[in-house]
Amino acid sequence: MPISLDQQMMREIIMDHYESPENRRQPERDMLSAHMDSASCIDDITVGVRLDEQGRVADCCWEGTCCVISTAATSIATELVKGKSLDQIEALYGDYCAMLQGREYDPAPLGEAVAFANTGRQPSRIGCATIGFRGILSCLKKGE
Amino acid sequence: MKPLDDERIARIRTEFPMLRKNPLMQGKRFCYLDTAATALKPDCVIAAQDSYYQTWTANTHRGDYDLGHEADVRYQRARQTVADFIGAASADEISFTSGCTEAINRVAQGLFSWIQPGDEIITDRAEHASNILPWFRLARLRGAKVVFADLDERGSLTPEAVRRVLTPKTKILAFARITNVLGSVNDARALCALAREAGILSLVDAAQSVACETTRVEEIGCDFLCFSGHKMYGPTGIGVLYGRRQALELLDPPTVGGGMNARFYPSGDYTLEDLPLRFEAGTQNIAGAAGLAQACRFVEEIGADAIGAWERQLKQLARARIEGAPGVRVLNPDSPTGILTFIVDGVPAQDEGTLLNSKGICVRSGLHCAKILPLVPKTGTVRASFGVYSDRHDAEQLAEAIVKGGDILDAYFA
Ligand SMILES: Cc1ncc(COP(=O)(O)O)c(C=O)c1O
Repeated sequence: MPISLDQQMMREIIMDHYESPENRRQPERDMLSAHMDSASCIDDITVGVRLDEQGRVADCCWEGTCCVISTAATSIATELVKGKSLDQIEALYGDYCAMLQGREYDPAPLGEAVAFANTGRQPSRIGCATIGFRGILSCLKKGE
Repeated sequence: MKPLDDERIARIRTEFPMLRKNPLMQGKRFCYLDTAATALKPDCVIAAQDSYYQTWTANTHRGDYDLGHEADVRYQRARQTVADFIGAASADEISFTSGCTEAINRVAQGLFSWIQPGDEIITDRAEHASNILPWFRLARLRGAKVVFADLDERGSLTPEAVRRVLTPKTKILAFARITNVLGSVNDARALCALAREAGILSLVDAAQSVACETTRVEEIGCDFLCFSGHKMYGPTGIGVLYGRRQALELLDPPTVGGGMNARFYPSGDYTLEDLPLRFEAGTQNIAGAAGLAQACRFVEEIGADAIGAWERQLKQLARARIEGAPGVRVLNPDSPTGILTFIVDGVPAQDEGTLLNSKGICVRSGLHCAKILPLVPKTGTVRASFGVYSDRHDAEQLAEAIVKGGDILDAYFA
């Protein structure tokens, strides 16, 4: 699916996730959680992850204030990681970062996240496109 | 002072290598509107800083040879130039720092033994983090308290508001002459007069004001005044702490080492150098001081007041064009500075900033280090700030981009 996405579809994916983000709810107390904010921007979110017995992501959610790019990217990231293990998520994140930095990457595991393929044109926004993923990874590291 | 006009600005622009060498950004006319964060540097400043490395490198107050002497003379001359620039009575009241932040910290840390448990420090919520956190820390370490005086509806601090929170325990009043988010102006003279009358210390953060109005510390009547070089067309990594002699004498030097002691003994005792050397431990930013002195001359030659008037004119030009555009809200329509702060309904500030970037325009979005200012929405604001090299095209390019708006995702896809 992703390879054939045209620009209009990419825009629509981002706007849909911005306007009605997935998994946007306060993380519960017993979840692994990470607070992500930054001195230089408005982003201020909390990410929560619950693992199943095999250490795979059973549930993932987030809450907070952030911009269009971080809202949409976090929404997509929280969907993508469900059912995946830390190793799988790290591999996926590797491809995602490669895409953002204009390096070669495998689009197959990225699903809707390929909508951010152009984000590297505005390099100052790569941090926004990755804040959700970074939050999820930091939760998972706490769970190790 | 002669007012600035389009022709003069066009000539000034040719003196800035950043403007000569970067005609385009993102394929559009390069439009730098982030002078409040840091100013571009003219050739003369870069050359003055460079001259230290090219022709008179030597350490200060150590050499017996000619170059060492020359470095001493030039470094001291830079101090005198800064003193004259802000109307200080003596160069001894000027110490160099790495910037405004370090200058404020030097005061806050220097007052560690002077401030007592229960004492109060008055500031306000429009201050830059660099004029709040040093006081928070001092208060925490010493059991003192930071008290915020109310701001008026324009985001300014008034003597009446300070009077309302002044108590016998108040020891310090710290505020900016011009605030960095809304560009509101505080009546520094009246506030410092109040501080003097109350017998407390006053500190003026002049980071945003030194390049756009004439600064005369004796007339302001402050105990301390702090600013950075890089916001006034000088180099990064150099700034100034001015202090009245009696006020400086209260400060313990927060950093100790070479150059700041007169003598030290195996017993652990040491004696301090005179003012201001006791605040300058270790080898200083000599090149930066030379660059900063040149920046003072640059601003003086054009005239700080003329620069301020020009920046206000451009701000009002842009404001008039964007006010009334659907969804655009200017948060500081009347602040008399070159800072234009706005939001676009439904658009997080960062996304607006990126959209403007895609149109060649450099602005700052977010919370601008003022995270507790009540007037700023959580989604941030966008701040455009003019400088001595800003021209009408810059104001128009900004206004057009804001008014035209467009899909924020155009920044990535168009
Ligand atoms: C009002 C004000 N105070 C202090 C500072 C801190 O200056 P610097 O980062 O140069 O130390 C700034 C810079 O943004 C400022 O605008």
